[in-house]
Amino acid sequence: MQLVNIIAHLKEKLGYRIYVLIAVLIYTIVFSIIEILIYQSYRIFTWDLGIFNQAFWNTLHGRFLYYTSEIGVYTKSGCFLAAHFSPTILLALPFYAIYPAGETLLVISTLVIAIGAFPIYEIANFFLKDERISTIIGIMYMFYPLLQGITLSGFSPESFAVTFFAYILYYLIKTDVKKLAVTLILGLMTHEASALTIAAIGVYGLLYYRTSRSKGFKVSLIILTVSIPYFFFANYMRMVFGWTGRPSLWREWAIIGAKSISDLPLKVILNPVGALNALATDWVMKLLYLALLMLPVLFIPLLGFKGLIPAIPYLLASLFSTYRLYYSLEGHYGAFVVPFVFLGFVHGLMKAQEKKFLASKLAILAFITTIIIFSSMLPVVYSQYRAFDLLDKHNSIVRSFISRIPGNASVLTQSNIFPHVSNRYNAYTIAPPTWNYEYMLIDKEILANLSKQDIEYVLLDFKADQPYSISASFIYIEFIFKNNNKYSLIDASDGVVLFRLNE
Amino acid sequence: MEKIMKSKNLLKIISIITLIVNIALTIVNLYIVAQINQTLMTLGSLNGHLNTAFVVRAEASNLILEKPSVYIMEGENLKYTVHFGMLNVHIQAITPNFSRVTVKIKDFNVTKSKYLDPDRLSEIDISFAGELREYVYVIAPGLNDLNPQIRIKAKIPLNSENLLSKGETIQFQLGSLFLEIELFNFETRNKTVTECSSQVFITIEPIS
Repeated sequence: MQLVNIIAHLKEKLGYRIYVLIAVLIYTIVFSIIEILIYQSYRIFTWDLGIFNQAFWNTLHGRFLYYTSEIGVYTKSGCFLAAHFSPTILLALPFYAIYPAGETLLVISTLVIAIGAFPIYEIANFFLKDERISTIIGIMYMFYPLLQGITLSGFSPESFAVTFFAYILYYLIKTDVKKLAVTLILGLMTHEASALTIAAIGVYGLLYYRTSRSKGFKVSLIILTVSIPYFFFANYMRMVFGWTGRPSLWREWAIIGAKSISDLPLKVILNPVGALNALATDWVMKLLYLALLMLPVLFIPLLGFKGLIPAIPYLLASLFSTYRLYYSLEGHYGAFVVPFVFLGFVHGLMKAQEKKFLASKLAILAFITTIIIFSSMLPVVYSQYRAFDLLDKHNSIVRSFISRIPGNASVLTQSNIFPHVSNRYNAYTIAPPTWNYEYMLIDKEILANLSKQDIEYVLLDFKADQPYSISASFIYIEFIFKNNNKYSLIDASDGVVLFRLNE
Repeated sequence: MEKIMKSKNLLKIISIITLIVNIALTIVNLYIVAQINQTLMTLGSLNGHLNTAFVVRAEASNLILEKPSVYIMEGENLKYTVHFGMLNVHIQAITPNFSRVTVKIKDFNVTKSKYLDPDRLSEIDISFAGELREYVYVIAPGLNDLNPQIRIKAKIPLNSENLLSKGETIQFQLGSLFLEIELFNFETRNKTVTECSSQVFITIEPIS
């Protein structure tokens, strides 16, 4: 009864926003549970989660964003800011400090992503002046497949970027300069590549306000002029923090001859044939990606194309690439697209309204389509993780083996187990050698370097899903077997094997 | 009336055909069930075997050492030649748990030949190319088929008194190479060792 009263009070105060708030809370709870279950089943894509768990844990223990898994690959210092200049992620640190574990990061990430529904609601309400439709659009945002991809990727700077992009848009439209300034700074600091998307938000603002005398136009111009130099500044800061990226690892734009995203525009101009070849590579998947971006929103954003402008830098970079994750619904890269699909959707609905179409009917139809796509895709996506068998014997064995490793001992393991042991200074892992040949060589190099250290424990799970089981075999052959006299087999069960350094 | 009779006859015929087909299918069915039972019994006995890891089969192809890649001279005399060749090994192993398979060279028995320096036969060195001492594989429970292709390096002291004349190439049997295949069960820590051998042939040609 009390709960009903509270809701009634909030409804009076917040209006329709209360429904978005409830949806955000439900989304956070449900998807946090799902994410944690997947995480506990050692099947989530955990490369990033292991990195952030270790970086945050080390920050709390006096080593600023220090992590081990990319030393010599992307960073010589081990500081995460060398890999990506993302100081905004430090906002999560106080919450992580309460319970320093991978699960905390998953909850934070899911909540941050879900919060993006508020600015989407506000943007819709600003343009459509209809709280009911805006609520539908706000809730629909959370069911949008690409946002699911970001959620499922776990904790990443992109989880913050997607929400800050939406807030920057909202405060720009509202010309709330103070709040815009705060979100702009935080948004820029989510990821060095965010600067390009935010610059494109500036372009959108210029087109939206048009008259140079308006405050919004001036603010948009400031956004644009700040973002471009910031992009180079952020990349410079990565160097300062110890970036050592190997160009040979970045082959996604190799057809055009570009080695990085900053290299790309010039190379596209200088090598148009290469650019066309790159576009044509894997064109079916690229076309499918574009179709799946638009299908849940019934292609309405194409009517309001202006709203899609901020998504253009990323879409061009992804379509010119040969790296499938860039043009897939999976992964966190959707962060550079999702808010703008919804901005385009709102602009499209306005256009439809001008042509005597009922925006509410179109919004409801899009909502139903999104739900259908969501509910048909979700079981397929989640079933691959086979995460919901809580009594899985194999996972219990992995857990019991992890518990046998002392909290302060150094440990080497494969990347799906790594986040579960990475809350320590000296935890190590390798990227699955199947990623590509270059990674296999790097893995060999990392393991050869680790051979010089006295890693106390090595935990391997040969029964894990691929590619993690291949990592386990690789570590065994390249590390344990080559240092056979240094390590003893402590225990083995159901493919899980624990080795300890001889005393 | 005639029509009714006809349809009754048709019904009888259909019933008889159905009965015959059913009997035939039942026989087929019983046969299949019997076969399945037989297979299940075989599998059951295999399961008994599966308590221990063992190598079912280990075979190695003949090893042909190619023409010398390197000639090592001492003054004007030929000291060694270095040859490479590819050895195909086929291993079938059954294991109840995740296990490790290692392949290493156990021994080499040389066959005397006029082309080999009789005083330095013990200096013949056959090893895995690339500084590897052992080939290692991790295998999963069940039947595993491994087909390693192993590059072999051989250092051979040829008899400088019996070198070939120009344009001549000869292949002769160098000896027998013995490989040791060890299966190590991570859980039970049991080791099973099997051997297999390969006939080694070498190709030589005169120094050009």
